[in-house]
Amino acid sequence: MTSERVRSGRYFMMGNEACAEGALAAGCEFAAGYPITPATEIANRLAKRLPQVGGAFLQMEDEISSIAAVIGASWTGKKVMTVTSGPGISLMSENIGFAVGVETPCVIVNVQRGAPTTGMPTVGVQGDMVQAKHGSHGDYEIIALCPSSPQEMFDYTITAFNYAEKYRTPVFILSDAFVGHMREEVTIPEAKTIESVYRKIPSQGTDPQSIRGFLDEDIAPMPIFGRGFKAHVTSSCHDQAGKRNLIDLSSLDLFVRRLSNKILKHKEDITIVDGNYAKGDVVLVSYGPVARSASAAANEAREAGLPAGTLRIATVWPFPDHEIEKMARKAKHVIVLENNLGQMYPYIKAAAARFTGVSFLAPALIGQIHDPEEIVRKIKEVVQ
Amino acid sequence: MGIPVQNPDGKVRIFQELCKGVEGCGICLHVCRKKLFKPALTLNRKGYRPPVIAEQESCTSCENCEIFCPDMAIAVSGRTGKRRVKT
Repeated sequence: MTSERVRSGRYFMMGNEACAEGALAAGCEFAAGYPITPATEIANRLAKRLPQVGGAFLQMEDEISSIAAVIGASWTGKKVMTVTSGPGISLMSENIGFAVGVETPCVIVNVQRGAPTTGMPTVGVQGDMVQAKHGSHGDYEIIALCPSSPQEMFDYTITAFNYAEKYRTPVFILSDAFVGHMREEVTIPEAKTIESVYRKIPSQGTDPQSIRGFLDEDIAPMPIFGRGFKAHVTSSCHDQAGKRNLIDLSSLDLFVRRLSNKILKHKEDITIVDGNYAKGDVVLVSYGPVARSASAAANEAREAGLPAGTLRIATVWPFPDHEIEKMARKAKHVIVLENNLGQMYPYIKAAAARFTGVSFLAPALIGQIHDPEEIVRKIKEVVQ
Repeated sequence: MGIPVQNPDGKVRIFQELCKGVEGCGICLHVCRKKLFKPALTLNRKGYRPPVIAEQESCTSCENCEIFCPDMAIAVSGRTGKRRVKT
């Protein structure tokens, strides 16, 4: 193994390893985590690779301290990430809310597994889709990306770091055991061709009280520790200078609205969708590994003369309702495919049902990716 | 119908379908003082690589692998040596 940060070349690589390489390519300098199947390979790789490039990996005593270490490291100005699976996210939820509230850039990788509770670690289930958005208390917006292949584990990890830095917020990668453990060709591009964003920082000597260090819909510069800024960082309701205000409701209103609008205002830039449909198609809406099955099914259906198209949502949060609407206006019918009991279905239905019929199809067994033939049968059913 | 097992009559039985793979876990390889485990050449049904045991006769039945395996995928019988050797 060579020790450079970006290992350009073509590899046959596991999704989890590609994720770790993506983090390095994006400039990650610190990661902390606690081992958990099916995410351990990312931590293993980071533990080996980060010290080679001057970074550090800490195995903490649990997931609560892992996210806390990551938030602390981010406030020193480092690009940071943590990796875990659903049970770990449950433990991290309180501090994820903290990171949202104090606008801390960090990447959180959730390689989802069979749940609830400890469930079945070795099987991928898309069971934490809504948890990513609503896991912590209060109104807030989050960014979550859903890769479908090892290559996307690499690409979206870089994108996640860039979004985290650009929008000063935690960003989720919602992978699962299937994509995490899938081995496929992964191309790592040349370092100079990789776009890398770094957060805005106030210029040295700026008094944080004189600038908007928080709650700016166009993203405030971050008064990070160790540069001489005397900023107050509190999870309690605060104003744009970071000062605590637990008296004025108008202050709470700004705290809630601005944090959310910071993401919603830039939704168009954040949204990644992959649509392949025409007017009058039965459109298969899916994400993650299920999208691979959907795409195979759409090809089979077209060959059989059925009007079929696909829409893959790679940015799951903020929810791409405009893209769903745009598709639904053209579609003959929408079939939502998820490897769960229908977590994104209510959101997709809410956006699409005004324009066309929407139905849901779970796999024959939860934890199994849909067989393309099952999907084709469903397409035939709705066409007739 | 039981779950499939390597070495059904041997000293160290490995329930390969319970294993989550030596690449991500590999605790058995680490805790065996005699280094008797190695990665299997084939994957289990879920696509994970279980361990296989070489030279079973060298096993002291310390049971470290059985005790440490988080998935209860290893069972050791025929205890002859000292139990619970610390690694």
